[in-house]
Amino acid sequence: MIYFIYILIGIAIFSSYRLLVGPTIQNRLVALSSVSVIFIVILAIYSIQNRNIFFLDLSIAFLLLDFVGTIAFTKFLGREDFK
Amino acid sequence: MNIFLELFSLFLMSLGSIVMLFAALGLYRFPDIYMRLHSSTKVNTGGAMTILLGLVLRSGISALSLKILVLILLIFILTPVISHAIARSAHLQGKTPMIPFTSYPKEEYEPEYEFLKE
Repeated sequence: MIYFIYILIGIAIFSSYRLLVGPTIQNRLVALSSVSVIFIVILAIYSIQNRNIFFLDLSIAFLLLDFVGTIAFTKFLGREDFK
Repeated sequence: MNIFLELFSLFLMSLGSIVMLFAALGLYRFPDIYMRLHSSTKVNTGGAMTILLGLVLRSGISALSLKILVLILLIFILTPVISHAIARSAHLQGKTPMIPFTSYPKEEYEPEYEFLKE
């Protein structure tokens, strides 16, 4: 089951190309959300493999943190004086 | 552990990995922000839920399994909200989607990209 972690790390590196060279801020936000979801799945697989429950808490906290940060950043981008 | 259950779990995790690879490929390849949203976020949500469902089948009935079910529910709710918020901010900044023609006949449509104006 460790091979799925390697595959997902490769997918995250391949997906972070758009995070580095994305033309606008929205492209980078999409890539950041995708990489964070992959990271959540990696944490869940590691937690099941080692029978350790703390990494699941970390993954749920990371998901909620990504949600709140992205919502706040898009509310900031949609303002009238920031066009 | 039952051998068929383990094989089905491995099948689900492989399917989710392939689906997430397709999401990353669409994020790399598509030209517009709306197309990237359409490719990336929905497919990524489905792949993550499939991999976590395979983990639930592998883990059996325990506290770990219950917590992964909570994680599946949170991903199912929160990730489309993130996608919708990004698309809304792109719309509020005045970006038009890259389409070669509009389906409304009376409306004047001027694409902002150079190769569509020919």
